[in-house]
Amino acid sequence: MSVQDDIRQTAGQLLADGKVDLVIGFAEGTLAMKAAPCFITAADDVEQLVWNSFCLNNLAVYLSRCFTPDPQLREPPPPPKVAVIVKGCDGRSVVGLIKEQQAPRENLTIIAVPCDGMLDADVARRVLGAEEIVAADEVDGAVKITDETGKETTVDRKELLAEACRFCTHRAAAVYDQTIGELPADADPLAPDDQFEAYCQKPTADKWRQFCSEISKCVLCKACRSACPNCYCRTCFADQTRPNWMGSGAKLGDVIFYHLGRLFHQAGRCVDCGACVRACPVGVDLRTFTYKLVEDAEQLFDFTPGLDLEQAPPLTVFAPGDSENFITDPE
Amino acid sequence: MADSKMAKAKLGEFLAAVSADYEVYGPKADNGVVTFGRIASADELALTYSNSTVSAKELFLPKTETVYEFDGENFVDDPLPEQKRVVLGLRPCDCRALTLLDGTFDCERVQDPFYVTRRANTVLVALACDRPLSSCFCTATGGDPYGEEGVDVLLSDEGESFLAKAVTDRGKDFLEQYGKFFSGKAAGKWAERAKAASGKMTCDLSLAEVSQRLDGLFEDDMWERVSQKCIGCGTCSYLCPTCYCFDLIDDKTATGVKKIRRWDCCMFQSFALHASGHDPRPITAARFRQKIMHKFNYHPQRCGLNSCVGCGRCVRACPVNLDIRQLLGDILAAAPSAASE
Repeated sequence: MSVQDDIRQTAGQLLADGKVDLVIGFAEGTLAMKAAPCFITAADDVEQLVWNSFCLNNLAVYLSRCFTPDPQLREPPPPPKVAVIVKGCDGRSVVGLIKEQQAPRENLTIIAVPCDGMLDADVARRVLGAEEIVAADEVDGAVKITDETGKETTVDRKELLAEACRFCTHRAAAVYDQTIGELPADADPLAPDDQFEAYCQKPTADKWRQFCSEISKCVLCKACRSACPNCYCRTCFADQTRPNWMGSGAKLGDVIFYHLGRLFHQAGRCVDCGACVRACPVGVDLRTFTYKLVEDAEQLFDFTPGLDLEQAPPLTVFAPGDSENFITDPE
Repeated sequence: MADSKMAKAKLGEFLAAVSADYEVYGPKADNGVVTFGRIASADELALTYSNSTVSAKELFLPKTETVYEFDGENFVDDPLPEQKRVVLGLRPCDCRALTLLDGTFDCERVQDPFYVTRRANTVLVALACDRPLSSCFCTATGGDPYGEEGVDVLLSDEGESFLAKAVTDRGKDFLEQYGKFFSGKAAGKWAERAKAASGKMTCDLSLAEVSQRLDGLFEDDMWERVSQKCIGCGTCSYLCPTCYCFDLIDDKTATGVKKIRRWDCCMFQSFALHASGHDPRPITAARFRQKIMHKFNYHPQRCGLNSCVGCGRCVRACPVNLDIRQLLGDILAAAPSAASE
């Protein structure tokens, strides 16, 4: 049975048996190389669910929303029972949300599916120098792409992987209730991350310059925050008015403040799913900076988020052997 | 001169001449992202794009602008943006969008001094669309890839040269001012090229009736369903050429405050929040309904037109593929509800 058929059958069964109220998965998108998050509440609707190489979104972003009732309701309904289809990155985010008490474990049915890396239409546009991808057809790892001029090009899927997927090492969820298909083992990144390495090699002043120059493109829509499963604060610090932490955005310093604030809150939590980068409407490269935090968490605290439910997040505990180098010797 | 052409080889010289009299703005590309900015020379211009990533709206309604300053003793108005400007290479949909913004910022009840000054001082030299994207739907909203609403001078890329047509008196004056760069007659070619371009539009919706259909849908339970995947990121509004909602906020200065106007978005959690803590739109469904109702029901009832020009930016950029074309198509396809009959 194909993964897609299996997903439909599993979702249908869970709904029919009343084990869940809602299945969060993917449906066919309206654009080429896009699948859309979808919410299935009736077993009759499971045919809407699809599984293909374009299921890029991190679905964990919806969990904290599912468990936040409408504040207007005097008597909020009991929290729903939710099944969520997870790739490696979604699964790791779900673990983080459970640990941070944003999603009750007992209300979740985590369905782990195999992921070979997802393909990104924006990457395809860049690779082909195209304005728009109008069709994409994948057969055995080769993707036939039609651009806006009608020109067809066949490209190896590896060329089209979303940036985060190129460097992904944990391809399958580590915590789950059900599996579909055969989950892939951890793998090495497809290619060395030259861009990130180049950043790490820079002296601090140059790192700061790169950060400021990249961040100066930001339009402060804060879509990076909205797309991030970790950004579940009921009111974001950037939106608070009493006190007002942030300036209006008229100065670059305001923009820097927002991004530093958001980035620092990701230390030891970011799973490098790339949702923030893909949501950005103006192509700010946030990943270089979030990935630095991922690497710091690994190197300084030997911690990789989202792999188990027991290990405490590094910034919530103190251990006598904790690294202090980043304070005393930041270079 | 009202209808002529300019060889592309002359573009650099033309820009240098225009720059002597005007601030020149145009589309610039950076790693596939096209935004409008100050143009110093022709090689900075990205004229082959289908549509810019960010709309030209920000040249008239900047992301942030100072309205006035209180220096501790006196209120000081911020100087009006008096400089003469030319915006080159924006698309007809963005020009049409400005005519819709006029209905809000330059109407009988309100004349926003900053907006009105910028509009009065800016010549719009638009570039017609020969390669509309599959996500473009300007014709569904009453626009056209060769549309002239809001346009002063319309250009069409003919390969080696640009056809140029003055649409307004201001456009006519502009073409005359730089007459030495334009020559020949281009009449006759326009209709043919416009027809070819509109023939490439793939969206067959007609949104004229959407407003009526929405009349009875305020309390409909569809809103929760259709907005379920929305993450409230505001990308749609920030890229939209007709979204204009703004927030006024005080920035502290050394001795006082600056009153700053900045972009806002009805999808944001803080948008409708009252000082009391009450939020009349506390959930995504209510915010999303507001967005759709404003664009396709309230705006047409107040100003006669949908507040959408079909540029397709929200369709392309939505991180969760919430496609407004699909939503509007579903609303149009559904039988009119009992409430609206």
